[in-house]
Amino acid sequence: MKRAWIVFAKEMKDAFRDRRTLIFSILLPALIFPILMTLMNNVMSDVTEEATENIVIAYVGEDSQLKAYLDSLPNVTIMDSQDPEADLDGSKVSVIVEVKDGLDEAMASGAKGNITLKYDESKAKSSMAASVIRETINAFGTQVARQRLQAKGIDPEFIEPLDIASINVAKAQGEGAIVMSFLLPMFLLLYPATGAMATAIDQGAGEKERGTLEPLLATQVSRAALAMGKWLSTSAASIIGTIAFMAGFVVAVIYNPTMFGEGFTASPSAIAAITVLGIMMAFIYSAAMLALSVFARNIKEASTYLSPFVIVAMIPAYATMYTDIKTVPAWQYNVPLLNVILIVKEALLDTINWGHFAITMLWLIALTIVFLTMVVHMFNNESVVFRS
Amino acid sequence: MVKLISIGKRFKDVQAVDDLSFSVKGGEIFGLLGENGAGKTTTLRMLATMLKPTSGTATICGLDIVKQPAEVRKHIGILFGGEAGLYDRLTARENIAYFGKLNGMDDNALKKRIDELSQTLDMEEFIDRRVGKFSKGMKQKVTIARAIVHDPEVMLLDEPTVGLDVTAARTLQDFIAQCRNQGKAVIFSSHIMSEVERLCDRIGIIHKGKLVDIGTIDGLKQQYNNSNLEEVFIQLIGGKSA
Repeated sequence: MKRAWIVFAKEMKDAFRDRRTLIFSILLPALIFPILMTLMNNVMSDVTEEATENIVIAYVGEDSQLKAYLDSLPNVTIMDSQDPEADLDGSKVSVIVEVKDGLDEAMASGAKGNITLKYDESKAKSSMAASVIRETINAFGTQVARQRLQAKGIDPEFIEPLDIASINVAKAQGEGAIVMSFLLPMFLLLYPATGAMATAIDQGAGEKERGTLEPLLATQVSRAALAMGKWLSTSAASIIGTIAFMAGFVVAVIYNPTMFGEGFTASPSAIAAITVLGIMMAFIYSAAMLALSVFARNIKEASTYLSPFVIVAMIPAYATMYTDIKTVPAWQYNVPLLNVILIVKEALLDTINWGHFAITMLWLIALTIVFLTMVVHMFNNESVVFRS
Repeated sequence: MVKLISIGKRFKDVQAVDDLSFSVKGGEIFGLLGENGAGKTTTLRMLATMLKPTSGTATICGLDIVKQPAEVRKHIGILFGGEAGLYDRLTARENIAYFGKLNGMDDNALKKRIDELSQTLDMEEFIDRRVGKFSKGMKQKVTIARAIVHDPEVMLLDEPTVGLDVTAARTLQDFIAQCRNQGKAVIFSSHIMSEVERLCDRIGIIHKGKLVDIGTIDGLKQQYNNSNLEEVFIQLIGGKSA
């Protein structure tokens, strides 16, 4: 055990002196969310603002009350266009409002007026503007309808016989919890993997490539101690990387609380369960990645073996995006990784089933032991050590 | 101190080492001579407990390399290949200390030993610098120090001077001679005749995994009636392969 500690201490020192590892596993993860969200937010609010606050339209047809109404709106500008279609194509106007002749007469006589909206669905600005204009024209239509009813002495309420009120009774604490029940499990599967990768590659295949594995194995360190030290330091790197990611995420959420909807809270037991699972993910990934890395001939091969981890981690996260946690069949708690996601979802709804939690932990521990045993066996296996 | 007992190694359909038996005493430098692929590296790797023999065995300091590999490792130091690997981001001292600690040395003994080695190998100037930017010669000294930090009784060296310049090779040869003076048993493989002639007390010539002949350099020269070791060598392996 003392020798495992020596290996651990050396690997940590080595990793922290590697500027590339530091940047890619701590700095970048910590910054990625704040940067991404600030950018997305700016771009999105710019587009939305432009598309709804200052809509330029072309009006085709004879003058009408509708045209006067549109013209009176502060966020709508009617452009005098010679070739509206070309202007729509060239993004000079966002929407073309085409009115058939005799609209005013139709409105006055109680007939239907015909209006066509032309817009370009492939342009975000145009399609957003089109929906605003459609609503605006509908409001104008409602106004006309009310006037018609009033002219006949009927209360406009008469044609709205039902009043529907909706109350959401879900236990979840607002829309924030729904978004988090997808994001958090994914983070928990993804970040420990990305955090462990660089270190795992360096400590397995890296030793082979540098030619340090053979002298290392010729020392008195036992294979088990060597595997243990390397596994613990890879796990530490994984946990540090995960913390960096999460810190960046928390900063982004604090900075920009409306991004995922408000009203998300978690109970202490839920936070504890999620933390434990995060650490277990670091352990299991580190063991599995180390096994593959030791097997690999060189760093390049190890990178090829380890990169699919990130994709594999995302599959259960996406597959369970719409899963209703209350109706999950019991066997799914016996599927590694999937069960982690399910427990996190339970935790977020504050309905952790500790029996499920125990099954999940047992699976993770068992698999970690299997992978670690593989690492020890490979250090003992000459065809792996001298694989080239 | 080292005794090979009909040791053999078979990789699938290739018999890399075949029924090798000889022994090396303390204070003796034994040269293993052979062409590339003759089985030198495989033999040394078996002695270093890195490869398991498929037949026979060997003992080092009375310990069986097959039955007690962990015990055997206490008594050996290895230097394989001209440019053995180091951890670039660690200093020379840290590189050596890591192996010292893994060999069970405590901090005090280790510090004393590294200072001593740093003096003998003339490394004081760069002992606390990171090895990443070292020259080949500097790295060579670090790997030598790493191999003997725990003061092993048996040194196993596989073509240690390959790829080294003249000065670095000389440092290494001096080091090998010094090991003999300290009573260590040294087995080293090479195909550079001048180096072998200068250093070795006895040599074993292996060809296609088999020991062709063994003896002192002078003894072999007399036996084959030729004053040139290289010609003796060619005659021996040529005779067998023809």
